[in-house]
Amino acid sequence: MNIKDFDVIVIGAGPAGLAAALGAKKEGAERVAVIERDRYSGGILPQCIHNGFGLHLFNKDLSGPEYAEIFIEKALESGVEIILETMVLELNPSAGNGKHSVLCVSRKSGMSNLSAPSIVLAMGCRERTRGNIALPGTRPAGIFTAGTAQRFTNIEGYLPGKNVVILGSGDIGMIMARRLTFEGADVKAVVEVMPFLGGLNRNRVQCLDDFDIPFYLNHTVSYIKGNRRVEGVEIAELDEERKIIEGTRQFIECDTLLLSVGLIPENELTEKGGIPVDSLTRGAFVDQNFETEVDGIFACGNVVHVSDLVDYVSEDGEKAGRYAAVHASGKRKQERDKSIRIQGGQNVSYTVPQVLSRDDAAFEKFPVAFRVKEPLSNVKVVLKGGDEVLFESKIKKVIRPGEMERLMIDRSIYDAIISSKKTVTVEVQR
Amino acid sequence: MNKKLTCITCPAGCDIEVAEKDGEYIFKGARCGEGEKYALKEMTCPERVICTSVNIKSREFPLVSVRTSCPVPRGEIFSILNQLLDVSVSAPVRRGDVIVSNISSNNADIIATRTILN
Repeated sequence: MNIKDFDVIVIGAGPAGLAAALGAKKEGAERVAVIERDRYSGGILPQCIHNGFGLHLFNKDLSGPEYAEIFIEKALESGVEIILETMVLELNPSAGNGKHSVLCVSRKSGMSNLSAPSIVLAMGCRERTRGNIALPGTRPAGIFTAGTAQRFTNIEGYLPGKNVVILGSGDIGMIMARRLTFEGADVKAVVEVMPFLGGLNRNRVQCLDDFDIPFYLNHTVSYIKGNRRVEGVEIAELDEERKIIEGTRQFIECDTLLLSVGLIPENELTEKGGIPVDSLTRGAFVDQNFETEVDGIFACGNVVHVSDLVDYVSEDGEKAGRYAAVHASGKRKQERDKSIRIQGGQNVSYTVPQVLSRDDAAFEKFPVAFRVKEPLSNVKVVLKGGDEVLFESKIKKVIRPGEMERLMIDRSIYDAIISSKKTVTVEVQR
Repeated sequence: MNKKLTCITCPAGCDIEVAEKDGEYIFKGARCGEGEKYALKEMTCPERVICTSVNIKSREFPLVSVRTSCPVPRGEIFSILNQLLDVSVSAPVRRGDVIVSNISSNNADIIATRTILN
């Protein structure tokens, strides 16, 4: 067993983890390690070869691999140790001497027990599969999650199929519709169960509309047919209760079905480590500095809640890393006042952070991220402390569930929250 | 005639309404100047950045990801993809390296978007 000490350990070398490691370095942490299970760093980004990354952070239109390399280079230059092909098996909070530890395994160096006063969880998320949504039919080859198909197409060099139906209008699904069209496949249809788009509107325009790919709202795949390989799928229209309308079933011949039906934060380590997880986000409860309910354990990126912009993930990661370094330095007062909670109210499905840690002296403004439950127009965002309105936004024309909203909490709103001493609720009102 | 566009410049995806008056376009709904630029381009000569991959001789990966160095006319997408079918490079390739120069009517290059050293 290898035993090693660090100041900050980050689990996962995707965009959140890399930014966290950089943030920790900037704040003065000396020994910073990132543990990554894949053979390369960057997380999902190297397979996201499309553009649209970095507009918010760098004001540049970059592809995923380019965005990732900028962070990988910065991390290596600043002395971050990236440990590849290494899987964390266990997270052990409060393993003694004010430190947390992780047990990991790799083919090259066997078992290791690494410890640090601060650990940043940045394991990302995974895709929902056919099992999660219980699709009826046979079980032939040719059914992939969209992200798996993306890895085959863009990294491994295999085309998953030639005639494709995509279930779900999440961003990866739409991006793959265009990508497979580029590679010569025929995308027969993109089918969305809900009455609205799952991903970003811009992806509908440039991935589906540009190539006249048929798009069906309020539809589902009702049956998968095929013996050895997918031979086709039956799609059907849904009523308002999401039930199949008889008489609308139609059969589409295809050899491949891609699923783009949502992402789930990957929190097995978190849960096994006894860190409280929010049932709404399926990620750890965090405060505005991305510290979980356990002092010295932070979480950032898609492991906390699924973002639609990597730029925001990098921002959040950097902050988590900085605070992890501050915690590791021992300069911070140990007891946090975590008595004020933040929650979603009317029309809001969740908020991140869920906890406000009170630190009046070191206050910096922070965003509360949230999503609405359904598309809404001409609405305002209202922040309440108990029943008292603390803040009201200007009227927003449209808010969509596919697009994360952020409400900035500045000093004056923060002071109003502190003096109200009540649970803070974010609402979206007509 | 009024037309509705969705701006694809950034993920905000503004809905822009286009009206034509005396041979000039009037745009409503863009939250920034980029949106109006996009809408004008979209009405006259729509352009896209093309991202794809080409073969690479490498011990690490069979493909290296590439893109056009700037947006290219939308109508040229498939002819550009066809030109890239037989392109093969050898490692090392660095991010930003020109893989094919001058591939579109507006003189865009195809550049590597990933560094593959071995």
